Amino acid sequence: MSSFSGLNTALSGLLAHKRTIDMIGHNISNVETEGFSRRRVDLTSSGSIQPPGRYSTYWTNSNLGVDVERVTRIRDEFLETKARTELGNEAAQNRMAEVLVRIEAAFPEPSDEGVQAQLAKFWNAWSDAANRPGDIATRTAVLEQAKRLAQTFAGTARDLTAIRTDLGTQLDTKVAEVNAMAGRIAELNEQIRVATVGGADASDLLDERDLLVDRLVTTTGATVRPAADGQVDVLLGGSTLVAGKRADTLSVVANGPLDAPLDTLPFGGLELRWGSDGYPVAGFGGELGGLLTGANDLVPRYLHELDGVAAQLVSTVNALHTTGQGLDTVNDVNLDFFDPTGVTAATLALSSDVADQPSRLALATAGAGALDTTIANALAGLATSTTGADALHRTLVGRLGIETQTAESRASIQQLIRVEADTARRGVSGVNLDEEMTNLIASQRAYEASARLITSIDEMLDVLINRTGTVGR
Amino acid sequence: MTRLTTSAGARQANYDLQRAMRTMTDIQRQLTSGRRLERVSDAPADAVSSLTQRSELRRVEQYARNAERATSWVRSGDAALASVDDQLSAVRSLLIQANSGAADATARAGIATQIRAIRAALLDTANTQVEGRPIFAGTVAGLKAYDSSGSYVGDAGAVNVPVSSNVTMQVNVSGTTVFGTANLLDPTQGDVFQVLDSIATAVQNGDTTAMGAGLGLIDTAAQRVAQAQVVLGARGAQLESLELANVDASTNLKAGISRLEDVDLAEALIGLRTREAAYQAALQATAKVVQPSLLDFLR
Repeated sequence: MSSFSGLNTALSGLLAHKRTIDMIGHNISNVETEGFSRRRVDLTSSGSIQPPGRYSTYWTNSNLGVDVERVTRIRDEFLETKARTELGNEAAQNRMAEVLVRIEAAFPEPSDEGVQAQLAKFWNAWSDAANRPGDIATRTAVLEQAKRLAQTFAGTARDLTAIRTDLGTQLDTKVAEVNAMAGRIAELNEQIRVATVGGADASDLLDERDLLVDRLVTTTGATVRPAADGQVDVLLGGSTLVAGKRADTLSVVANGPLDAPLDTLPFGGLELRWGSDGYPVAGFGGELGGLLTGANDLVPRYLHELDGVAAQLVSTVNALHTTGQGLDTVNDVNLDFFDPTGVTAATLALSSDVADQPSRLALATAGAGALDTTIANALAGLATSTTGADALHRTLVGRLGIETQTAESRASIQQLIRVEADTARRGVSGVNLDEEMTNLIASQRAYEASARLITSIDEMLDVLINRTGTVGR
Repeated sequence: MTRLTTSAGARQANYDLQRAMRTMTDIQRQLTSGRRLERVSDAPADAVSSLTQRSELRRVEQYARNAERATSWVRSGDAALASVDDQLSAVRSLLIQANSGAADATARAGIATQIRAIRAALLDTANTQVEGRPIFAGTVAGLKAYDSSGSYVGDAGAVNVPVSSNVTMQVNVSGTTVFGTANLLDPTQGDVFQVLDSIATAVQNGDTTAMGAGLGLIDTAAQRVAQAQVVLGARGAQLESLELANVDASTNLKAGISRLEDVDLAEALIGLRTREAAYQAALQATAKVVQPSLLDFLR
């Protein structure tokens, strides 16, 4: 046992507590850093690991003091996994709700401008024409109102198609982001492996990587699997997007017409494919999932339903109109009102039989007097038909409202769940300033005590060296 | 127990504050716009019900317009029939005068001229127009029901006007119903214009048998008019009650739509107060919770 070994013990204390205080400083600085996991300096007594031997005594155990065993990055992998799953779910629900809200905006109901109001005005125009069957002005009003109705239908269809186009653009952007993130995660994986194998502290790399993984999960709903040496693999439907230092890419491609009955729409479906082999990606969710559901299901479904309303309008109006006659009771018979080939919302139009020819409007039933109004009254009566365009459109709007409401409430519930899961994981990995302060006080005191120890030993040595053996001096 | 961290606390406070603020702004938006139903998803069932009622309201308003038009047709018809009635009784008294035996040939010739003048006036009445359309012509196009010679150029078509959701009213009576059907073989069995013609001839010729028969013919003609008057009168009365019913329906529908779409001010204001209080409480609590830390007590 050396006279100076006490100094070493005190020094180890000074260094260890200095390191602890540095780490506390690091934690405090990062209290608001996103994705930061707090660090803890694990200390261990260096004397305790001496194996006892037959001749060993306390005195032979000269290596007293404290060692910094490691710096631990505190996080709970279970809670991390759960929080990530919820992140993906929330993103998917949010996106779907957003898409539905946009679709709903394309159907401005209840209002005086929407399809419903225009339909009502259209039927009333027939009734007004019936009130003055010989008057070209009221007949022209029917044609004008029919044009406005067609424009309203076409406008809604255009809005829906625009939403679909926009979703395609968003998907492209998101996929580009995913590819960039996957590449960066693969790079970080490699750096982490090198650092871990070399025994260096990879905590900051891990934090950056895990933050990216969170974002990637938000975008894709991927699952994450820990791999060797601190690396992670990111999987989509069982296939790896990131495996160690290798990253695959994704792409969005147009995928031909949608399944029947949506195959009549002017646009086809979109598909997410692997960059490496071109196979379709399965089991994804997150923002990509929500956006793709919007592009392949929500928008097409409502556009198709709107087309159904237009088709019903064309067929019911034409069915009556062809049985009537215009003012020229000989030549104005068997005429279509709407163009029978335009049976979608976007192509709804007046037929060439009557367009700009108000006198040919069939207000009268064929064979009756020229000013008969049986057909016009019957057309006006279509407003109340339970299978007519009005009723179909109301059903559509009602269903859209309910679906939007459900999606929004699901999204807000999912947000609550995500916040819970996030709080739970940040509860483990986040920084609590009170706690850091307490630890700071403890470490500071320990540092002071170690310093004090050096003073004590110094004084002891002073006694030994300067004041011992001075008898008789 | 979950460990609490500084940023989680702040995050939670943030989240709660936002939620409190969102519910408050929701109500504020409702109050400023005055509308409870901004979008269908605010209350889908109510929205669909409101859509139905809006369509119904538009239809009721259309029915009201139709009823106005029906009323003008029925009134014009009524007025024309009353004048026809007057003219027929004028003919009747002239005929009695001619048939009394006191009238000589000169007087009878004068009476015959008067009867012919009445016939011309009657023809004018028969061509009465509403909105440029002869009301006794059925559904044919054209400006006259009877041409200048007195033959019918209209048809038996009905002018039907839907005046409520389940009543479609015929607002015209055809010329043949009011004035009778022309008979080319026997003018005395024909329409009122042929009858008047033959009566005028009989008066001029002093044909007492024909004049005597003429009285009966005019009575028959007057009866036809009276029947048509009864029909139109009944329709007029029905129209009046239907117009009232339409006004009622429109008022009810407007109230119903307003109930569904508009904000109940009292309820919304109370809701706003409650949420303001909740928001302020949340703000105060946040200010207290977020602020203190051990740092405040260390020196």
